[in-house]
Amino acid sequence: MEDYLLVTKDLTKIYKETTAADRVNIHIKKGSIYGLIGKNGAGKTTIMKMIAGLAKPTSGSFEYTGFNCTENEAFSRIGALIEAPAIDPNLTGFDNIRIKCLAFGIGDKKYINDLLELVGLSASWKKKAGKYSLGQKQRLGIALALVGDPDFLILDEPINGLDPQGIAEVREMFNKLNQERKITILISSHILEELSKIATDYAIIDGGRIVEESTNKELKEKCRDKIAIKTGDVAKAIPVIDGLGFKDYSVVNDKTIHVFDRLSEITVLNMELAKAQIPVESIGIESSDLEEYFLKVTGTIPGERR
Amino acid sequence: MFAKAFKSEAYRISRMKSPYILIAVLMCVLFLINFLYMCVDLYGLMGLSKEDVEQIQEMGTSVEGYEESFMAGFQAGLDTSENINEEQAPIKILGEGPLYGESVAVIYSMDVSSLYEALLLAIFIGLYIGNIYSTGLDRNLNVFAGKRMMLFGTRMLMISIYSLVLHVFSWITSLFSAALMGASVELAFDKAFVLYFIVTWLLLTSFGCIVASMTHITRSKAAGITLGIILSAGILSTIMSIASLMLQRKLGLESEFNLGNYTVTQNLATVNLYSDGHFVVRALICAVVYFAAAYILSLMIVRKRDIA
Repeated sequence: MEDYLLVTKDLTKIYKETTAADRVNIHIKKGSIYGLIGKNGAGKTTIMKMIAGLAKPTSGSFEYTGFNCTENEAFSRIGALIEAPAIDPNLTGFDNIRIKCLAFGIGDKKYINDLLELVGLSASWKKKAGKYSLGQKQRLGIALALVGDPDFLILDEPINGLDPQGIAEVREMFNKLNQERKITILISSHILEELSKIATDYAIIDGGRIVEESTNKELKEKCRDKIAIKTGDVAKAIPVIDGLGFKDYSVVNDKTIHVFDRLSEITVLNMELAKAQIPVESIGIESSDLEEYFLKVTGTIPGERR
Repeated sequence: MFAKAFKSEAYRISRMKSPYILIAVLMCVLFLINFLYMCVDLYGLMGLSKEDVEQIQEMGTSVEGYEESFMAGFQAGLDTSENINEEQAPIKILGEGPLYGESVAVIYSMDVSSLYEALLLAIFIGLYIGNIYSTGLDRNLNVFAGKRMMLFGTRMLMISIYSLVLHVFSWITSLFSAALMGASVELAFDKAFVLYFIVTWLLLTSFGCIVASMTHITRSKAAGITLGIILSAGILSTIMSIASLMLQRKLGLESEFNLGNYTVTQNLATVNLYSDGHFVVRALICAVVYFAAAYILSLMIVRKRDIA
């Protein structure tokens, strides 16, 4: 438990007749970059709003175990960029940040300039925020989230509107913040490939429910190319696989085995299983990237699990 | 915490353009009104001489007074056509207006009763509070639990301060008007003026709180500003009169009873330097009650609601 910064327990939010978040249980480790994956309307923003203190849960609870302080103190150590950046378009980027800085008791103008430089807006600090491009607004939103040097950053689709170079810069910035300043980050994104480059842990959410929670390592394992064997007798199949010298395999459940090495020897493996009179329901090579895996898990690909 | 929120809100207002523009508009409008009442011979335009005005003032302005004089002329069988001169004297527009020669305090009282301060305050509040919802500003400020109440209080304080600023600039305009267009500059900075200034400021703050409350509840700039315009333009007075008549009949109240006397804007328009104690106390009670009601109502709603 002590490794976790935030733990939620059956967190639920119901808007009139819509259940936006349904008994959500997530476990965010201190120092991790936690990726929240889900389709539009899956409930990502609602979960983020609740743990940022912007929305009250209908039921359930969450605890900032890692902060070891009261709920109010914990909230003050959070920086959040949820939905669109909250920016006054009639004010300059500098003024937008200064308003938040003053509310946090930060009067130093150098602090604001440093933040603008960090997010790559130092050249346009005088420009009115309404005239910023979508990417610049997003950067300003990130700068606003960083005011007060938070220990926990909640970022809802932070790379929306950024060009490829901007995405790479922001990714680098998040990595830097995570590694150098030890900031724990909760991030949601539709661009799963980008998310997979920085996230250390994931939760896949669908219809307000957490479908799967796993580490980056576990997820990569699931997304690796593999021979998937479905058999009615896993116990008998294992000695055959061992006998053939396969070392990198895992028993997924009482019907499924995944073999990760020597994929080209699938025919040999199939023959040996047949020789041993082991009933094989199906055998084949499966490969998927994170996006494909996500689609399978959320049931978007017909016939896959949900 | 309160000081930090206050600084942040003060900075936000200082970076907005509307507070400055509204002050400039207020000063221009009041200056024009003062010009009308100080430099335009309104009585002359109505064909009345100074003596006529004095006579009317001596006679009194009560309904009975008018009725008596009307009936007297009617019974005497006057032929009004006899009084019409064949050659009309040229109309003189500029001259000594009704407020010419009055003290700054009296001019100021007239300016406040015009309710332009209230109208412009409503526009300011609509923009100031409405901006919070249109930009999602509160999402940035990590406002939750106790902090939300504190921030709400800070914003009400800012509204109160801005209404004071408007009030002061009204007085400055009255002073300039007297200096530029009046016979002399007599401040009349006495007890009655100080009491009038405080009472009207409290009424203005209370009005601001009502508009802020509407903006908070609806999360809309337009709704707050529209309510402000309706209240300050006296559009509700007809409804108030009808409601008063109904109450008079149903509850057997006196014919003098008027619901409008218990509204903030009516009090702001009618209270003056010479109002008696009863009138002033009523205005004060109205200011406090409406302020408290609007404050508590919006606080209850804001507390319950998620931050948008």
